[in-house]
Amino acid sequence: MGTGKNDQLLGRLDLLALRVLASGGRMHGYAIAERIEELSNAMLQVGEGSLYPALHRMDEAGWVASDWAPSENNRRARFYRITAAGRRQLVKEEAEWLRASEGIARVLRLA
Amino acid sequence: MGFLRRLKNVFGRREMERQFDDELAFHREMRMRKLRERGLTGAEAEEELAFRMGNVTLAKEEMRDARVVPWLDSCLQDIRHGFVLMRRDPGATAIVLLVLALGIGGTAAIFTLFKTAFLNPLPYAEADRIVTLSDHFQKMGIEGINPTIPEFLDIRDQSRSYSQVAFFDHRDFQSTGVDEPVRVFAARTTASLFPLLGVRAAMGRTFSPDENQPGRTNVVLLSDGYWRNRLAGDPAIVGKTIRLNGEPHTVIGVLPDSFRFDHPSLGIPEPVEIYVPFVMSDYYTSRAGGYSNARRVRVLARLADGVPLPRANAELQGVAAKLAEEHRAIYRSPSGESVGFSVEARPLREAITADYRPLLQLLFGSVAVLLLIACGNAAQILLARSLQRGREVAVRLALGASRARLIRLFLLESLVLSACGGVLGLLASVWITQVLIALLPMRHTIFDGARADGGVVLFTAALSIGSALVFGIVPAIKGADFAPSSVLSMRGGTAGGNRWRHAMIALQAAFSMALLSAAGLLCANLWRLVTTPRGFDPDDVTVIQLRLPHVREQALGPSPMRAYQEYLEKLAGAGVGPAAIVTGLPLTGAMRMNFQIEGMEADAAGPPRQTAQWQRVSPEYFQALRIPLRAGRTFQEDDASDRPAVAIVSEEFVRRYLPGRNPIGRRILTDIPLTIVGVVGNVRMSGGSTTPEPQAYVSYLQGYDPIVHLVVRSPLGQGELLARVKQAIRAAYDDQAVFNVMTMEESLSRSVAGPRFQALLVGAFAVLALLMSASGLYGVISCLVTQRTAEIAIRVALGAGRGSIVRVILGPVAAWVAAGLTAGVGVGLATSFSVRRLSAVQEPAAPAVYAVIVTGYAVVAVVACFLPMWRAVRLEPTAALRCD
Repeated sequence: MGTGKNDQLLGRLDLLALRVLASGGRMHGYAIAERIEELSNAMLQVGEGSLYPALHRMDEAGWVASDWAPSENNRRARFYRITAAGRRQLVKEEAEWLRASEGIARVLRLA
Repeated sequence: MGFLRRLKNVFGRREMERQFDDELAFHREMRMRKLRERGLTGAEAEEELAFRMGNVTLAKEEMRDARVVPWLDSCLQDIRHGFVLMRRDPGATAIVLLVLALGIGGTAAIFTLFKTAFLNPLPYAEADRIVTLSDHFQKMGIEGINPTIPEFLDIRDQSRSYSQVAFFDHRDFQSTGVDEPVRVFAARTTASLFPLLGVRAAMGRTFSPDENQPGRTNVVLLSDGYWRNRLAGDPAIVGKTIRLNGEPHTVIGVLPDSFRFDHPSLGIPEPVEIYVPFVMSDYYTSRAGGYSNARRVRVLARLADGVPLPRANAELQGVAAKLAEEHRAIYRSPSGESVGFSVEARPLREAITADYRPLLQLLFGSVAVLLLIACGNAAQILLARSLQRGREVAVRLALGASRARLIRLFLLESLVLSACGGVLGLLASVWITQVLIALLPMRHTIFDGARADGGVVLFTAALSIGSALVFGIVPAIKGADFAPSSVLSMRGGTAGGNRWRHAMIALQAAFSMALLSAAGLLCANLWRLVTTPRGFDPDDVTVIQLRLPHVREQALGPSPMRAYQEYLEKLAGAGVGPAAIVTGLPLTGAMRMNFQIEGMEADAAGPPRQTAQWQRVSPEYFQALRIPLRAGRTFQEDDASDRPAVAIVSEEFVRRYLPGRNPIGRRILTDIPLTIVGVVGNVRMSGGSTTPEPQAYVSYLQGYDPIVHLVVRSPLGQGELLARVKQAIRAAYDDQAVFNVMTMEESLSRSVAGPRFQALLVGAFAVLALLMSASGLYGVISCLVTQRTAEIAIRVALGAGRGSIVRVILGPVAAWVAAGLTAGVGVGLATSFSVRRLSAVQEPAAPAVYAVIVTGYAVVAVVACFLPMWRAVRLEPTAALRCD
């Protein structure tokens, strides 16, 4: 996998990408990566080593749908958007994340 | 739908990869632009880009894994790798493909024949509902003879199980040819035969039922071959007449080219040229005298809808019992006891193909053994190859492959080899099938349609997959065993696997031995048949067959055999050499008949009924064939019908039935008493056996047979001789056709056609097996020598002589090979009984045969080992140890 900054994604790339797509509509992979960086105040940097495989896996799983279309610089790019199943998966993963982080926070606070 | 797309991606890799590249290139471009906007220079931007992109290769691999059917994709990769390996070592690949093509191709060819005979539908309408009927006389030991015509009529009237019944037999006719009379081989049938078989005339029509009645039968149906060859394919042939036996017959139709019904196993000795209706006159349809007098014909029947065969057979039992009651004179012995008469229906296919079953089983067994030996060669080469890939295995294991995955890889590579071998084998089998059919010893209508169709392709595919498993499993398992020591040493590679190698050599030896034993048995049998003295001299003898035309028979009234006398008289004046008439040719069989010897009638506890082979001959027969006269005299022209009946017997006859007594003057009791007047030497009457049989001869003027052979000993060439013979015969009677002309040598050759075919084929398989085993042995010894180069070099340096080197290397090999040979001889002996049963060989092989085979194998093995061992003993210790 990548090194350094990417570890900070803590393996939650699926969750973040789905969340971005949930409100971002139709975006290509670069836009998703930029948005995650932007929203996290440059704390999370997404490398291709993880993003595109994740997007393709989610496409096969049916959580996102993709198609090819011309982009802003007139080059063809692959655009992704979230599906209904993807939204359900988002809810699930978000809940899981909150549960896990709450658990960790409790241990840190009380131990 | 996702699955389908993933499936598509497995095969459309390039397209998928291109899309990945496009997507990643877009991202890269966007990122570059952003970096430049931020003010990074070219080199810095590149560096930053590379850092942020991370491991692109791994990313693409993960994308790929997400987008394909994973196991299929990896299988395809393995198969591609198999092709790469094939190209890398063309020599080894060539050997493996060759042996697999031979083994698989041979098996596929035999399967093609098997399928055509036993699985393909017969070319008649709903042929699995057609049965043939046969009589059994259990108490007399007579099984499976044709029913008589009166029985046919009774069965037809009393059975409910059949929708149609028919019968046929055959007859020689004579038609007027262009400038000489020509014999025509005809089938005589009921009108119902053609509808029963579901065949319609290509031109005109087939018989109508009233054409079987006396007076209406002068019609004829032509076969396609006869119509084209003898009547020039005249399109207006229907309605014309041809003369048969002097009487005009109207041609009512021509049968299609595809119709063939002259299967030899149904009792039709030659291809049928024309069909005539059987005359259902009282002469044939009434029961006259004893059971053996009525004419017997081949009966066919079509089972009625919904009637299973067992029910039809049960009904037949009832009919037979009823007949036995009604006609006691026929179906009971003179003393009033039942003769065990019954009738049985068998499927038509069984009757047609029964003759081929043993032969095909024998061939199948032999070729299967050959395939196993071929697999041994392939396994051995693959084992060497897989053990050489130790480093590759180590790398794969380090990259995370499991042992099962590796075994799958090796097995798929084997599958690639065997698939290619299978394709080559399938192509070869087409050719091999044609060669086999061309060489078949008996006339074979059933194999006309033999071709490599879907069933054969499926069989070959299954065989390829099976072979891949058989020869691939051991190399796969051994190869996937990670052995660090062999990998770390530079020479890694051929180490290990030795016990399997030796075992494979032993197995190949065993199988080859088994096959060689069978081949030896058949070849020894053939040799015996060909070299055992026949009792006569066949050189310069020509045989000609003739049938006295009906017209002539009638003209000569009570003594039609005088015609033969006239022919012989004319021949005597033609200057061709001694000529004679005989009813049955040597080595092709003669009629058997029972008799008693006067003064030695069978007592209750006496020997079983006396039987002998009987022939009717003219006086010059023994002289023409140079059969020695041992006592008494030969026949004379005045041993005619008005004189006391005489007989001449063979030496074996005397030895068996009149030991120590003077046979001359004794009387033999058949239906008439015969006085023995002479004794001649034994003659072999059967091509397939060498046991002397008692023989008896009667004078040709004291009885009549319509079909006889003329034997002529003459130094003249065939053409000249035939011309003179025909001239002489025509001088006696103008309208006599002669046929089946051949030299006695040709006739003898035909009589051993069956054993010769078997010996040839199984022998060919055995030789191939031997070559494959030798090649395997060569490979193993080479391997061993390479493996142990250092050890040998050290031994030589320490002063070991050549003999000791040979002993060290070959010792274990020889032990294994010896074990294999012993096992093989054991298997050969154990299976020899089956082989003899399948090939109708009567005597077991002498021990000398096995000794010869073992010695032969040993010699071949020594030759195979020679080259690698030569290299081993000429090893230069310094040179060998240097390239470590």
